[in-house]
Amino acid sequence: MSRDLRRRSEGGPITSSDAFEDFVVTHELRLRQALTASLGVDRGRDAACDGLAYAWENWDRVRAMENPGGYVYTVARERASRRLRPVRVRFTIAGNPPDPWCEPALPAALAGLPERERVVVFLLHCHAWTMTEVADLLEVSKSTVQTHSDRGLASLRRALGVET
Amino acid sequence: VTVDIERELAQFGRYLDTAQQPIAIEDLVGLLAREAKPERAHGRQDRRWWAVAVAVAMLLIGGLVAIAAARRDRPERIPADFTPVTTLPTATATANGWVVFSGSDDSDDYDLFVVRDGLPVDRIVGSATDRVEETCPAFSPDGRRLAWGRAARNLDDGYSNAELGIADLNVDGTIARTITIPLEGDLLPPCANWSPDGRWLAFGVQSQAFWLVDATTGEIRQIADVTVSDLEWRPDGTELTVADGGISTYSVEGDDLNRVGETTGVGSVAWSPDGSRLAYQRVVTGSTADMEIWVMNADGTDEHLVASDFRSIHGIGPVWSPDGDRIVYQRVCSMRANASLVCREEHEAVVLDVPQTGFDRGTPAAIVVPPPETIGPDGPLWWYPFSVTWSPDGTALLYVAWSLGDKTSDVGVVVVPLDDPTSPVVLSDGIDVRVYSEFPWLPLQTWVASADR
Repeated sequence: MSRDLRRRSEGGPITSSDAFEDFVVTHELRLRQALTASLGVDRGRDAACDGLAYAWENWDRVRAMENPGGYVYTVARERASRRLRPVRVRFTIAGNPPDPWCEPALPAALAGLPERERVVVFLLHCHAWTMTEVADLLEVSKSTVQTHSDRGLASLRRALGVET
Repeated sequence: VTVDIERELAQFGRYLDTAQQPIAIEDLVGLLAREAKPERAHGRQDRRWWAVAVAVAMLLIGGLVAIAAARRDRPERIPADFTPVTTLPTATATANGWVVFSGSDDSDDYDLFVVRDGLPVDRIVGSATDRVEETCPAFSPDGRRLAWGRAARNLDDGYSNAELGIADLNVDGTIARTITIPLEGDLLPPCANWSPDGRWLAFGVQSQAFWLVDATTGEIRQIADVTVSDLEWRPDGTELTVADGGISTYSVEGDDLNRVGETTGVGSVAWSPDGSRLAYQRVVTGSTADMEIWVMNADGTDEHLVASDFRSIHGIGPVWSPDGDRIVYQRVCSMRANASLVCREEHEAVVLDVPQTGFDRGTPAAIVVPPPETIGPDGPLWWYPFSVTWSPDGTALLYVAWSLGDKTSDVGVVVVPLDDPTSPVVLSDGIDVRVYSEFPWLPLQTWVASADR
């Protein structure tokens, strides 16, 4: 299968990898955003690569799933957790100057949230996912997503000394 | 300071989208190429590998044939439309005592609260102003001690200074004495299970290991390199039964972990109160949509299927009634209670009759407990359980649940009498009850039998 993928990327004959490329186009950004929320910028992108590679190697099974994006997210996150030593999540991008776009203390405060709250806040408010989309990804109810969001935002406001 | 936090988050998201490189197909090609094994140059070596592959394949085929033969002896799957025929005991005035749970009132961290029907909720551990998470409360088997997990929760480092808290309880509800056992490293607050004799506490603080603490000496053991989804003490106290994909046992005396049998996909285990039977919940195909519950004797014999073809996202697997004759489990319900919409993750409880005597290995009688209804400020609320346990006298179920109405939602601790499930009692008004745990083996609430706590 990986030969098919390589040929396709080099302009070779059309194969079943077309459907996979559609999957990558459709899901890559959201998968990367979700894994960045879980694992940080660098580890999140690496995990998204790993997850997509896994999806390709298991494409016949993954393509038949009801929620393939959620499945690949779960697999990628689990594989990263098994492979990597737990360290504090980082939201800085190597080689880039300090982010001039937002409150400087925000990335560190966001990184300090418990993972569930961080993922929910990050996806809802940084990337404008809907409650339903976050609930689907995490396989929790929308009320749980709302609870995590409220708590995460309250923690961020307190960390940044923001008046409510 | 005036900062629009949501605007700042949106800005940060746009920045990341711009600064982070998208993943292209070429990146995956490179990754797959790196992971691909180099091709062998010599045919002789290839032939050797082929011989090994053929041998392994033959072993696998033999194993599959053996498994298929074993499965032929098992009963057929339970039909989806079976008719419940059982009856349940009537609720009576009993010595059901206090319920303890983790929740938050006006602070942003969780504390421990106790409550019983007719009395107000009372905070017993933590304060509204500290930044310490108090969670996973568990009464000791004799109801005289309380164990829970705690950790400082700060924004720079997440959780730190995780500890196991153990308190002696007075009959008037106050805490007489508290000891804390610190755990090294930045770990999550532990969720502990008491051994039947009240000496040991077993818990996990991350997914790749579990711990034991001797509550009498403070000795700490770590059993590493095992992915645990459930921990259950054998009622005689000699072993800890571990769901780690299969079923394993940890001997306290021998300090060793051994796999038992060849069952796969096991996520939850539960011993009957007298230790004569073990129930376990397993995933058949790797999907939460296809689950089964099996019951077997303590020696591994007489294994039979008691529930199948159900989907479950929340819950702690099968839970035995105090008399050992029934099992309650959770499944995603087929229809929402408040609308003609397909149910997505709303759960219902199912009570199975599996008496110790007279159970003939056939399909057990079952009662489906539909989501109980209360009246909220904007109309009806239907309560869907996150975790379900029994009252000490076996007449009611105790839910930590979330509710949905047409306009509002809530979370709470709810008593559901089995003789009248349409008359639930919400015990936790005004408290943001903790409904999520990283450790699925411990219920989010426990109900002590003693009239005093």
